[in-house]
Amino acid sequence: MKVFKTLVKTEFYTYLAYRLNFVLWRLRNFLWLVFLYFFWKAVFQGEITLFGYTKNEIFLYILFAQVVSSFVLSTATGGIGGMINDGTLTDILLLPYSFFKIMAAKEVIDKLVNFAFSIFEIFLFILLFNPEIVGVQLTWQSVLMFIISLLLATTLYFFIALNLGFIGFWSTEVWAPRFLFMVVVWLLAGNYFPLDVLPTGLYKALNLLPFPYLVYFPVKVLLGKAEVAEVAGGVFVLFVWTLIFYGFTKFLWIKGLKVYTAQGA
Amino acid sequence: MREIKRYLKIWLRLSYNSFSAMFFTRFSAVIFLLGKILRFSFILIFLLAVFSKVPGAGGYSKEQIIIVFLIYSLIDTLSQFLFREVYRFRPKVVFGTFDKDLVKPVSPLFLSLFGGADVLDLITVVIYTLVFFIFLSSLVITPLNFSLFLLFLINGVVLAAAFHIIVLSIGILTTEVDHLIMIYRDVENLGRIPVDFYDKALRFVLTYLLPIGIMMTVPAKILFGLWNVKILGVALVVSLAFFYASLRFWGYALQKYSSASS
Repeated sequence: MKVFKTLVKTEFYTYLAYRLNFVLWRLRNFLWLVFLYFFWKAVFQGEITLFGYTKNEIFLYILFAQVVSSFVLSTATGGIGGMINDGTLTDILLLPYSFFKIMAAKEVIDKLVNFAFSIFEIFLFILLFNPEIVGVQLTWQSVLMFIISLLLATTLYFFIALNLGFIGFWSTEVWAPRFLFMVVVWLLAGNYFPLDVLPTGLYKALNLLPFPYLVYFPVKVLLGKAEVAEVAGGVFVLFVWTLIFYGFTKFLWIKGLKVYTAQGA
Repeated sequence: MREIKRYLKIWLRLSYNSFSAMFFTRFSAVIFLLGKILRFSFILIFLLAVFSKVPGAGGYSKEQIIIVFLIYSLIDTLSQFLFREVYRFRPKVVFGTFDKDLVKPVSPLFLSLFGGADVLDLITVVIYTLVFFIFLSSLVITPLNFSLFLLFLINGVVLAAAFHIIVLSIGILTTEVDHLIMIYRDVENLGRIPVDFYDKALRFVLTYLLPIGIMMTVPAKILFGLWNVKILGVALVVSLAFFYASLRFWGYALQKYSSASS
């Protein structure tokens, strides 16, 4: 635990060194929030409910989705493919700590910093635009199930992101698959809108994939928009996906290390 | 005229080189193209799904909102096709290789803006144009409105060029380009919907200070016949002023270039 704390602290100082980059990144997220808010505001003009959501619920959805995605989808694993390609992965392999422990420490600090900033952004947003978000009651049951689904979603995304980085063991073209993956995740995770506004067939098909469980599902649980059976089923599916990607991560790591040549190190 | 021909020749040569370089990473190119088309298709499906339940928003019909999104997609992709070199500008300043551009008998601004057109975006431009005309067929458009629309579509690309010139200039002054260009893209993203959707203060900013509204919403309004001479006049004056300011800023930034790492 002490080692882990030290790793987290070191990573935090790295963030402070590149703070302008980080602030600009958060500004981008804020602009997206502004866009979504005014889009939904215009759509809801004169409408009381749409797709089973009231105007207040949809505003809360985009605010919560912003916080959840900044926690679940922020990742420090983006450079793994590059590290494998240029051989700098060796530096980490030579350290007296496990690769996964180091990556987990980086991930924790990345998520915490992004989460803290997203909370600040939400307050700033409410201050600037005063969205109508009252009238939605949060229960302790929904908050509890939200925390469980959030932690599972975070773990699942960590493993998925690691697997993407491991492409570097077999290919030098690591950025294109990551770009495609980011496009898919940002569209299908539910960052921008509740996925149940989509045509029923498409929505059902999406639920077969792990993406809706990353943002859409936790936010829906928090808003109390899911039935008990749906929550239980969703948590179970999340757990299964997490196990699958955990196994996949271990498998690719072992196979990858066998072909790793530390080229360029 | 001779000068324009010379620059066109240079642009064709630079674009040819850029296209050839892309073929070395064919796999990545296909994946990037797939990602772009997927994103476009998904947003279109989302808009169609939302507006299947409501007739329109903010005084615009479903078809008009989709046309605004398509005009945004066209201008955004055209500017990425033309100005892709801006995304590669930062290392030139950081390592001092921008010096080489400065001593060439070609405008350094031309090289920094147009030095590497992106073939992938050319493909997506063709696809978006086809989709645009499919949706356009559901509206009645007069020849005058369409001609003015084309003029203001070009004006939109010119404004996009001005934004890119500002990014380049700040890049020279601060070496910060990568995030800045993405922030520009996110500000531009506000133009996916008509600027009339935003509140008064934001609408003012997006019309007069960061004229995304003139880039995206004005061409759409012209197409729908929602224009008058005053709107066109203001749009042209703001566009000219913004473009001129970007050129002046570029000139200022060039004077401050220190060639630090060369």
